[in-house]
Amino acid sequence: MSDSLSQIPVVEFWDGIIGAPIVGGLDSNRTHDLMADILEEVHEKKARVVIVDISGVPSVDTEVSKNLMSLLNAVELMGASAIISGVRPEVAQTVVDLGIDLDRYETTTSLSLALGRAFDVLDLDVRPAGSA
Amino acid sequence: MSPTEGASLTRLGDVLLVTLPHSLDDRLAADVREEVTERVAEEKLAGVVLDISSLEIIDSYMARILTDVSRSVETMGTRVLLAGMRPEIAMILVELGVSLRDLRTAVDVERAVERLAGPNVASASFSGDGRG
Repeated sequence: MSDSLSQIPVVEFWDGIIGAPIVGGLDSNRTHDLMADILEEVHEKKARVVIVDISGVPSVDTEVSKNLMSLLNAVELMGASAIISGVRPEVAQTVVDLGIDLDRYETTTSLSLALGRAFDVLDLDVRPAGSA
Repeated sequence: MSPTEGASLTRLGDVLLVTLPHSLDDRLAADVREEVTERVAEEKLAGVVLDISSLEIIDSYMARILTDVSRSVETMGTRVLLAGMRPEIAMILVELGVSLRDLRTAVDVERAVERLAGPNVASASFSGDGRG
């Protein structure tokens, strides 16, 4: 059960692209609620890409990684692509030191790079108006 | 060949669409697997889509059935996509430890057919403008 402060919003970035900015920790209760919300949005909006931004997660330990991977697995089982954005240098190092394998997931350092990858998945060409 | 009771097999261009009912049992699973693998052997298929959008419940046994059917078809060199998984099913599968290593999925049947046979077949088989 989550109060309004711990609830993570699921937002639509673009037609077919949804995401959730995680701020704070990711325990199993929060993961469960977030997973339910994200999957419901994937189902309703037929989203093809889900971006999970972890730039607001202070530290990524074994539990957080495990929860993150469950979340991404569920998204992929629904048929959408999952991208983790906001992987900070210390997070990348911790994850490797802990022996956690995030290699098989798409990861980026920033939300804007993740959006770029999402556009690729949707075969969209986004550029300034008037450019060739 | 008699149509498998409870499941329907339809040809959409080069794709075989298998629509599964709301739950799976032993006999149905065996029939579906047998009939689908026979059609894969006889017909030139670009792939098989298992439509599971009616599936309301799943347990580890039914998950095994789905992976067994998929693997059998893939062993014959033909791609399989599960389409239309409901959010609650995805959550249970993750808890059961099933991931995409075992199954390949698409958000819905249209997207699955598009991925297996290309956009032309998908837009010819469905009404609407086909992009989202």
